[in-house]
Amino acid sequence: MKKSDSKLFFLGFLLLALSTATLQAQNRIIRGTVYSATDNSPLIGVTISPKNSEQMVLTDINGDYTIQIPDSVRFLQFAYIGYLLQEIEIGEKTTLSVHLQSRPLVLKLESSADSVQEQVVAIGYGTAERSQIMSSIASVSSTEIEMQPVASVQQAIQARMAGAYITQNSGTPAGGIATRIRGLTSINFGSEPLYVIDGVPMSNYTNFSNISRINSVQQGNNYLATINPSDIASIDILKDAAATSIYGSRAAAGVVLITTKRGKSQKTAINFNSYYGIQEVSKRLDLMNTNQYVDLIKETYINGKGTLNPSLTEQSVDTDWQSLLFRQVPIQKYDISMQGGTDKTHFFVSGGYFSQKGVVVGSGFDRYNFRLNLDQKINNKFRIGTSLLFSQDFHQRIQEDFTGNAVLVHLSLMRPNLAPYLPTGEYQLDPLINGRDNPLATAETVQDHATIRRLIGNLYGEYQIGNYITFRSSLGTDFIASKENFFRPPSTSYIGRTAGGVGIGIQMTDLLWINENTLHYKRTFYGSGASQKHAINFLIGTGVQHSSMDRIQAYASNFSSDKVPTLSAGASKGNQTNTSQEAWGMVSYFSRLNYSFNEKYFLALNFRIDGSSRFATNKKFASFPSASLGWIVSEEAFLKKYTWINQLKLRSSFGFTGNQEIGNYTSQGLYVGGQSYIGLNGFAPSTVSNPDLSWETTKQYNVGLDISLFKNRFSLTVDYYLKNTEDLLVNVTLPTSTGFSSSLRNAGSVENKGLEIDVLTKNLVGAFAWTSRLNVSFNQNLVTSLQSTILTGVGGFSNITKEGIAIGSFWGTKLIDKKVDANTGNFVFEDANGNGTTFNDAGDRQVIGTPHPIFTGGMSNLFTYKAFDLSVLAQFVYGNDIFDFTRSRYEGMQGVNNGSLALLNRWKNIGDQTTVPKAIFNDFSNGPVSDVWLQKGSFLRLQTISLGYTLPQSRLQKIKLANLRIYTTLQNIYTFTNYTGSHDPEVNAYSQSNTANGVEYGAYPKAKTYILGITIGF
Amino acid sequence: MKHIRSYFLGIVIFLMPACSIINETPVDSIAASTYFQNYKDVEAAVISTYSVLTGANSYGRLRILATELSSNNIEHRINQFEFAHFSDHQLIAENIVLFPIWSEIYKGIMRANDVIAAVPKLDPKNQELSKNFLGEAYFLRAFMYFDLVRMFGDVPLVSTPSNNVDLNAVRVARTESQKIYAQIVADLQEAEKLLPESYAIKVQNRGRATKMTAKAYLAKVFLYQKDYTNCLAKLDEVINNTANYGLVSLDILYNTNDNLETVFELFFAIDGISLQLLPAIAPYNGFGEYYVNTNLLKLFDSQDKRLAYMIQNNGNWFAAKARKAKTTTADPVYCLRLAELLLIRAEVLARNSGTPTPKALEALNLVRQRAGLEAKKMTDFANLDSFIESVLIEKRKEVMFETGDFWFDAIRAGYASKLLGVSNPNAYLYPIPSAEIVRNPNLTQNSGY
Repeated sequence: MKKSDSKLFFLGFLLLALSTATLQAQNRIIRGTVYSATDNSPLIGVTISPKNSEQMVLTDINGDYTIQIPDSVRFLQFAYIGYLLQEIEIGEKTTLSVHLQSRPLVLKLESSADSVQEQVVAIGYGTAERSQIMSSIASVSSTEIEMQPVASVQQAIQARMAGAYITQNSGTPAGGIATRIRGLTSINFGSEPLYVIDGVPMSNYTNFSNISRINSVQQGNNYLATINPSDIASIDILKDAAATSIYGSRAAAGVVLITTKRGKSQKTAINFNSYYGIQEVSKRLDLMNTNQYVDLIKETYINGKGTLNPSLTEQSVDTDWQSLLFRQVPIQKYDISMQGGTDKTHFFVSGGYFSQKGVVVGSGFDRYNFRLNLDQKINNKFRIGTSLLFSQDFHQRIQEDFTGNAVLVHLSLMRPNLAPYLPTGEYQLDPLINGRDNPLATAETVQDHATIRRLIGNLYGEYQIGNYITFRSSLGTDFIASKENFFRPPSTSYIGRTAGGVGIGIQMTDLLWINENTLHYKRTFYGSGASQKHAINFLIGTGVQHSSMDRIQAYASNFSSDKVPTLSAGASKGNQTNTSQEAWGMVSYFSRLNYSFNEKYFLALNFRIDGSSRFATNKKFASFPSASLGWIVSEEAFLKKYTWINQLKLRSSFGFTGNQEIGNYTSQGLYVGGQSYIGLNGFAPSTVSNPDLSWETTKQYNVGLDISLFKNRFSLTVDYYLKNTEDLLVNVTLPTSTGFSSSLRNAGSVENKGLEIDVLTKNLVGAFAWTSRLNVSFNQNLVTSLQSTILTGVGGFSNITKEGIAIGSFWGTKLIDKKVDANTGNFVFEDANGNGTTFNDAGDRQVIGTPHPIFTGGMSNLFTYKAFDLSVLAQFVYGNDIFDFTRSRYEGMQGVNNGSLALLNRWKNIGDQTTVPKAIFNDFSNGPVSDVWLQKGSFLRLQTISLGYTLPQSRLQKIKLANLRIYTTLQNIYTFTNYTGSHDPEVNAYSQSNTANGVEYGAYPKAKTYILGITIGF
Repeated sequence: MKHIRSYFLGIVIFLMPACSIINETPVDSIAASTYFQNYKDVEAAVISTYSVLTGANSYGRLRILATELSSNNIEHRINQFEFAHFSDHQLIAENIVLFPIWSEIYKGIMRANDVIAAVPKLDPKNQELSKNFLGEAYFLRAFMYFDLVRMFGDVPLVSTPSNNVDLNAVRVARTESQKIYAQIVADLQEAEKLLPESYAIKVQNRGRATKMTAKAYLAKVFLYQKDYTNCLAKLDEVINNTANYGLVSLDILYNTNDNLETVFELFFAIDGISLQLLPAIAPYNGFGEYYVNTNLLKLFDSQDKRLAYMIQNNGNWFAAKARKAKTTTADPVYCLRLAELLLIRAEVLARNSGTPTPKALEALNLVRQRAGLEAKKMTDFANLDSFIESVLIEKRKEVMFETGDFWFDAIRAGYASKLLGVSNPNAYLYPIPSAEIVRNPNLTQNSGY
């Protein structure tokens, strides 16, 4: 659709919507008193509001209230903290007195799949009741988040929601986490969902090239680490197109809506929340000791006919490098929040401090955060408010993965017969293996610090036009100022010595602002005798956002001392000093129409148009429509008689979403400077332009079913989806006679299809209650067309993406037999291309495995007995493979690296039946990328076990507290898996890549944590 | 009616999203469509074309290594197979050194093509101011095709910018080498017309192309086409320009840049990639990867003063010629200098007469005597062939470790079998890199590969 058309289209919609706005309604007055059902005492400060309205009043000191409402209102809702929400039909009455039931503990703790009808879900530019939603949305509530101490937003979701597969790439505190909603929909760009917090779409790393991560290379920082999970009221994940297409061009990978807590009209409540825990490495590697190592080395040299340096077989030292690098360290958190308000002003304010030391020496994370959420009613029609977060994160990283002196890679390769320190007390660098840095020295002396200050804020004004229309305008920002300091001292590593030490300073600011304006029309019409009810909910809006980044990098080398890390101490300033700037912008027009008939039949239509600066002139605008249909079958007369059926709902949807996460100027073709010659600066083309470059478009079908039976004791949600992503943005290789090696084109398509099942059962109710929830997600990924073949991963080719297979399938040679040849001691690889050789023969490679699980999921169980609660959360992943590159290095049998105890089973003599080949110096024939290093990555992890005790109300009143809970939590306590590689089967060395998943290389081990916590409410 | 105003406000706000926000242009780079605005942009684009030649895949490393290895002037220290295959003349199309050489040359050609296409679109004033730069682009394109055609024979002829998004259109098939040569000659003649006599900054007279540079390369290209008459005409224009070109002492030649002898040399920035690959040991700070082929030593007479400049021994023989790390700039690469032109003159004069002539001998002896060797006499040569062979060997000794041209010279003159022991004519052309054939299925392979 062309831009001018789209404007007209919206103007039309706008007029249509406004034309109905002038109708006025009659008012009537309702009075009453609210009591507690427990002791018949009047309740003070109970909120009374017409259903589906922002209007509300509070009960006074006698529990009395008076409310003036339009005639059209049919229900009043009564809400009070600690009590069940009650909804009462007004009918012809003018007086309504109510007894509220107090909320039992078990209900409070129940998970969000609980089909309690009152639950409200964020849907983007608004909220809706769970029962009325006909698209696929998964939710986690604050109670669930509060139940267990998690460090980040993603961990609050992990294993709890069907359709969201979350991989903590490494155990680094606040390290990168990959979130995949319903599979991988892109090959090269943006597979992270769009995170929207209180209406502000958060910036992520794909906004700009080169934002952060100086030397940690693959593992970024978690860009959501900023958010304190305790501030979150709910997290809703929009999954199908009907739910996501309101976010158009950024929604193909799903949308995660985070809503933070806001104040209510109530007495001020103060909450203090704190926990303290001890963490340790969950699993150590079984590495050889000095004697075992020396045996191996001698054998290696005899077989390899090399000249053995006798110092390599020194046996007087036996260093356990893991004990030196791993440590027991604390994790702690302190939060305080206040919330409350009058009928005009609501506030929520919180402050917190979180600190997590890393289980590997030299790493850690600290966060200070402050939040203010404010809502002010100016008059009956006009409301303003703000959400504001300021936080400061401090990341202290060690060198991971592929960096030149990766701590954890070297850790597993270090010879045990080398002492960590010289007799003089200095770090010892291996004198026999050039470049093998001492991991202890690297971890302790190399500084990789990042301080990230972030302000996420939103200011809104809402104006009621007539009875049915609300106009809302908001201005939001996400401002990031980050500062990174890297210093590699000149003497503590080989790599440091070559350049006399290196210092890098990077400062970056990223300012995103967004303005959105919506008109919301909401009205219910009644047909003949109120037996026909038509509910219309119509939204149209526009949005404009802009994001700009400035980056300064300074560099120095040749440091005179290990002690002064500032660049002033470096003698050579070098040519890596530079500044860069980038920006992108987007304009949007969107609308949504919801219609329901008798709350039985539902229709929803979405339409969004986005225009992005990232795309070529001819392709800037794209439109993203979607539609959904729903039918609450249980409302039909023929089912109503079956009282054991509480709800039966059928849903279906279809629609389009897009992905725009490519480089900011990629479509344009660029000339860059710095191509100098003979003292003159030159400019040269760096990328070839593509005037047809356009969006990746995802077409998604979804059908779903929600069932609640037996007084909601059994609830089931099932969704099946089919996602076809077309026009994938792919770097297609060009003949180099063009002067370029590749060009970015829309040149592929990928399909994801899957099934999601979410079951909630209340196995036991009553004094001893037991609730279980299980979610399982199946996803199948298939590249349906691709103009080029993409090789990535270890050595540049361990993963392949091409037509007919899943993205990033493992690519290597295959063993004929899963053991070594008993006569030669070598592996025998399949000569797939039949050319008579298997050594270094790329033609023998074939697809040997997949990094994608067949299914993933989680199971939680909650037990409550009187004041005690016990929750157990398990996470499982099944059917994926892991390529263990670390092991291929320390079990390659060709070098002088240390290795695992498995090497004791190596082939030694003719006739030996084993899976470990013979040790032979400098012979790489056993080491190619092959299924030798491929392992099943399935696991079942006991993620969290939490036991809590909540002081009963009677006791609380005596000590004048509103709430007191103490709890203890065990995290990552045990993992059932056959994976024998590194510390943990949850690995992803190439966390930034979609095409090289499932590779293990020196992953930071995950921590096992023991926590003690307390929550006090005043 | 009371809502009219707010409606109006609403409509205004709704339609506000402006187009400017979605027309972001880069700050730290320039959109290709708007790059060429004036003559300065043209010059910067030309400079970037030279800079390609100083890259590690070009005259910064691989391009020179390839033909120096093929010339059997040097060998890889541990005979790593991708390098050994050049020395043994047993190349395979999968060789990982060939592909970057190939693609880097085309990267340069693309940059030259951009300039050649852009200048005519400028306003007349800037077109005039860009004349010299356009000449440089023509020169550089010819220079690069000359390398391609000598290494690979028939190659894709691309002479327009590659902004085409149609994959089929950019999969260009090979053009026969005669047509490539025709394009080279045409480009050099165009360059000859457009290039300046000299530059304002002295060092640029050797480091950038001038009219004389174009003439000298025309002579060399005519030599390869066996067009000796035209070759001689162009040679003499340069050789007779004694104000700007002449032989210098070996000390000056090997210890200074920008001397009277060089016609074209490539300069390297000190902290960029510099050509330090041939020397093996301190104080020369080289990679230590390549040694001199010891057979070379046999070519030198004991009184040849060049030997000490070129080859030294420190346990192994290594190339020491003009590769001393200077304090201000790294060593340049001499691409063409007067001594080579004199030796070409010697060959061409003899060929034109069908026999060695005194003038031909004089040209040869100018180079020999500068090296401290005694002059050859007419009686030293039995016939034309023995004279040509003697000139080729002299040229090899003179310009070894510079650009590896002996490989091309030996093939051109039909001496590859005699002087390098390569009798299989299929080996006279390198294979088209297989990585390029994968990208461009329209390419055929050279015979024998």
